[in-house]
Amino acid sequence: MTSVSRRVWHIILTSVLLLLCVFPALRVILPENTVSMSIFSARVPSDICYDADRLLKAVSYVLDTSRIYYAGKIAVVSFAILLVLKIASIKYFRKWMDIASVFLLTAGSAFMGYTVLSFANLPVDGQQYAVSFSPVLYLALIAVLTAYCSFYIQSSISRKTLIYVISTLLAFLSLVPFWIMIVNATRSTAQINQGISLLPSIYLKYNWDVLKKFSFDAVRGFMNSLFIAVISTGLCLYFSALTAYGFVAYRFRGANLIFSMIVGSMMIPGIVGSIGYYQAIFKIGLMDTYWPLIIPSMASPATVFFFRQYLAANYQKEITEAGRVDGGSEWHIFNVVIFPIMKPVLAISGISSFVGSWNNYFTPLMILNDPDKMTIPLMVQQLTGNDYKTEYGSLYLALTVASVPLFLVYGFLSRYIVKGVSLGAVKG
Amino acid sequence: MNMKKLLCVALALSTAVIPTVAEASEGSADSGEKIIIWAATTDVKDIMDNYFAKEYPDVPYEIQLYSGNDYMQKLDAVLASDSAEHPDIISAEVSYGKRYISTVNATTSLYNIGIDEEELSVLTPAVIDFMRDENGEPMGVSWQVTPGGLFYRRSIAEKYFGVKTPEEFQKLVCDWDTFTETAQKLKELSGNEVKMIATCDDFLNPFLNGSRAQSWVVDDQLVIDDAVDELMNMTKEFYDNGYTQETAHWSTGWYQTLVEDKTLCYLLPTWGLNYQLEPNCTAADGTTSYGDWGIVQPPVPYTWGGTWLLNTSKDDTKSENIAKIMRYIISEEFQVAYAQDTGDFVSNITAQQKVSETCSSEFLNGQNHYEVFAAVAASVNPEIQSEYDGTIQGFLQNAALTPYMQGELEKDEAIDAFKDEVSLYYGSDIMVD
Amino acid sequence: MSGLRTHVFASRKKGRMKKVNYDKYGWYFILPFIIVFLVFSLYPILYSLQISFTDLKNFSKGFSYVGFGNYIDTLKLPFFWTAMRNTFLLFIIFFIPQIIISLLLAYWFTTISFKVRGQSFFKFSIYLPCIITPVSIGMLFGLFFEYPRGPINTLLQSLSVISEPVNFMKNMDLTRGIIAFVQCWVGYGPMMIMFIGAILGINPELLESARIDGCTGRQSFFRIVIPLIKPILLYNIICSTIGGLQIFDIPRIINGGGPRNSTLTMSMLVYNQAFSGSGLYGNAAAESYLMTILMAAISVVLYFILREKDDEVTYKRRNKR
Repeated sequence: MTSVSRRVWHIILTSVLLLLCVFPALRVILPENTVSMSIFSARVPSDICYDADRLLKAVSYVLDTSRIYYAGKIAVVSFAILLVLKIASIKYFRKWMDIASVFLLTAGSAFMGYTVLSFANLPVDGQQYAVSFSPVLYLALIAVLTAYCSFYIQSSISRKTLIYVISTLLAFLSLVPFWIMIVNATRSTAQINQGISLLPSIYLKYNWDVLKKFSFDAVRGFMNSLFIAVISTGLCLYFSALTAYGFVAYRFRGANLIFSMIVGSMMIPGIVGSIGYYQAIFKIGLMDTYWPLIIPSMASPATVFFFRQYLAANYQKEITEAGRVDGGSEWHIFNVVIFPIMKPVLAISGISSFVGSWNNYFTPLMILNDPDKMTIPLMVQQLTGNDYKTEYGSLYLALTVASVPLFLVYGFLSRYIVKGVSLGAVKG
Repeated sequence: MNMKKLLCVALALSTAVIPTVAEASEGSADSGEKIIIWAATTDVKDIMDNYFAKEYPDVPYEIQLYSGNDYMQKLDAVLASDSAEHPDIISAEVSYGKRYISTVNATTSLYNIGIDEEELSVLTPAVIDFMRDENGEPMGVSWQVTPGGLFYRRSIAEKYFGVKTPEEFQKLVCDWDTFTETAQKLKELSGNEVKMIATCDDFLNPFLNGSRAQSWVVDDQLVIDDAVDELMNMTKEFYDNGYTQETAHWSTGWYQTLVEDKTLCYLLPTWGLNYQLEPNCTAADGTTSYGDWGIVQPPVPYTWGGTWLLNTSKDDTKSENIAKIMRYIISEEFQVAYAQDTGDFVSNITAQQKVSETCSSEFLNGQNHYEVFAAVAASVNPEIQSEYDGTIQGFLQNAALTPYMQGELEKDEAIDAFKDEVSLYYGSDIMVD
Repeated sequence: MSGLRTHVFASRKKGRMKKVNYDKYGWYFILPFIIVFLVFSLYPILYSLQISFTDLKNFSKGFSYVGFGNYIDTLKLPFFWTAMRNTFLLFIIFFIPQIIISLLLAYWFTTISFKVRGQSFFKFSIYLPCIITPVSIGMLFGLFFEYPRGPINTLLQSLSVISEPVNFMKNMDLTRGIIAFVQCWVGYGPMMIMFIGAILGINPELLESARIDGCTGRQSFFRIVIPLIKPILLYNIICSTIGGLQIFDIPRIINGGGPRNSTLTMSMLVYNQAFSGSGLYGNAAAESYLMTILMAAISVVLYFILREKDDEVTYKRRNKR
């Protein structure tokens, strides 16, 4: 497609879009008591008759018809500007023109879609419902849009815009739910029921008091989780380093066999062992204690695997031999010489072990009974019971409280976490 | 890195202190004398802390409260173990209490701690009969009897039917046919604004624990009584004709109906009054339906729920204290005081009579609800209760009733889904055809 | 250094004994791990295997062996097939978009010619959901999609996409969609980071020379980058498949099995049979072993399908070093 014919095609498409918006506006005004699509006059027909049943279920601000008219007007204006741009075909500021075109196109279609859907969804009583368009129109709109956009992708500037747009969208998609969670933690139930807000409100203290009434002891759960996480991370790091060093520095019979067995066990689903684990813990009598949650972290195959890869690349036999010369025992060599070498991977594994232990839901669910010993995930799960269904503000607050430590850890240490994951990718 | 490590270690050491402190505050773990009580609802805690502790301040006890969904699993685990935390008394609802008597076999007869039939005869017989084992020995007591009633809104009844007293209203709901007729008339008179019931869940207990004639499981075989069929028909009829607000028990929508003026009847038992209706009849902005209620007998007498305290102690040295607790729970003094404070329907016969004389509830516009409940209580039948009731009823509601009501499954498909769930859960314990 | 030499000569005199001695220390080092591993990982797995051949129920002291009875019962159980179908369905719905999006993003962020700025912000926010407790995330989305006045319902109504609130949790397909979306949303972050790490490990000269030879971006991506990261891709896919077929936390919290068991996954089925009051440990253990066999089979199949031109790839990689 030459650039001239492409330009002409763009102009044709834009005109079609504009007509789709304006044509209903040129319709003859319908008789009284009907909703007219005349979007150039901001009239709201005087006696719209709403269907009582649907009105009850509709959220209140749906009835604000002037908003719908304004949205329609904005759509028309965007398309008009787009059309002008295409016809004028300014040679300067090409890049910005392209970006502006995409933006206008998207805005216009979004507003047009909103207008169309709003009119379709007005809870108007059946017989008086005389809106002239139909979903078919809307679908036609979408199809034209897609065709339009696909012509745009070929130019590299727009591809970069597309990359930025999609990445930003995904990034916000990942952040917005948490922001809404935090904001809703500060709003009252009535406010939450009214709609989404991106700005916090003032009910934080009230929600916190309600939480206390529900015996959601956040501080206790926090301390419990912290205790378990810190100790199991410490044990995991130390003993995994010990084991990895044992595999790398020494050759002994059966080393490879044992190592493959360890790696193989990573493939078995966790739930297989859980039944035997539950019965075993019960028989030993360690139910409802923290031991079953802490001791198994000493044997973490994934961490050992990871450490071994790192040591295999960064360790030479001479280091140990130099240590032996200086007259230390093997264990002393490990603590003083080897352990400090592993600082980078220790940090990375430490973080993931900490987060893993903090988020552990299944094992504490099986093992712990005493409400005083519960960890944060268990306490959050308890909130799914029916007693708590009415106080949404406090529910969001509980979720926020449970997640704050993780936000902090991630906020400060995200560099290491990301580095750790990519390290694992390269080695693994 | 060193600072961070140091910080981590310091943090770890400091948090190591917490569990030891925690244990200290609960008292010594080696129980010795303490009576350990496990409960799932707060009223047990209320009774022990606010009534028993005041009367017997020197009896040591400890209550573990579980408000989550897995109370039963935790109970199973701890009852099977021999740990120091083995509870001496457990609170169990009627829907699963019998399981701890027969299958889990964790309860000890009250005869063993010195309570005999004569002492238990002060209670409504059904209360003790619910929790007897196959030899007829009693395993626990309850402070309450839970017959069901029908609560209604006086203003709505007066507005559409012109009835001013509960006796007049009773005529409108004396059996299921008149109940349905009243529902239809209400819909017509109010232009579909006002509905008869708030949720079809209301029908579960009247049919399953009122009309049902057979136990759910007979000789290890699942038995589906005719009442199930009637329940499904009734539910579908009300749902299809729009006589219900389509909420669910204890949901936000259900609580909302208490405040609004759009629902006429609520089929709730004794604890429905003080546990659900009274605390939730006022909206945040102050509008309330308090005082606008009345109570009549339901179309079919039924029972719903009830909490028992079962004796699960394996330790003979504690028998005396446990007996003290049991005796206190069934004593007239305690029950009269409790009834006057909370309005709960108590199990001691003399207490019932005493309270009944002077009882009047402001919430019910001065009506004496004890009379109504007493009339229903006489028909409570413990024979049909089994240990499987709670779970089977739950499966019936979720797997069969709700999809059938909403038109997703046909009736026989719904019953099949129900049978599948029961067979999945109970394996070979219950034969399902 | 001379001191070291003397030491070495000295040890030679003592013969080979010293070397074997040192190697014995290897055992000491790995001993704690082995003990804990045997007791807390291996023993439960084998014990579960034993239980799967019995009819152990609840906490009863005695049980009897029933051979393969539990396995046969499980294979005859309609719920088992429902759970398997649900698990695979959910997995495919969330896994395919997850791989596509993470590969796409990794491609965009690592192609230098695109000059995407602000990458650290993107990586930071996209990786965030996988850190937060899955239970909390499940609850959060359960609250979002509530009926009638959850945030999503009010949002869609205010945008006029729907005219009355939709009961998401009562609709089988919608619930599945929501769970798949949440799993994908949580999972594509770490996957993207892993791919970025893998792609960055490729020798840039290869891509440069390809570009000089006239390769377009897309061609170089499909013909060069993907084959070179195949080992990591394979490892990633197999691990994610094994993990993805075991999802438990999120489906359980969001509606606990869904309307009429439409989101019941295999792990949930095992859990319900074992720990949810049912106490049928024998059946649950048999189910979990059937699950294991299934996953092992799938891993093997995937490994062989995706491993084809391996020799070529390792040859190229070795050359690059």
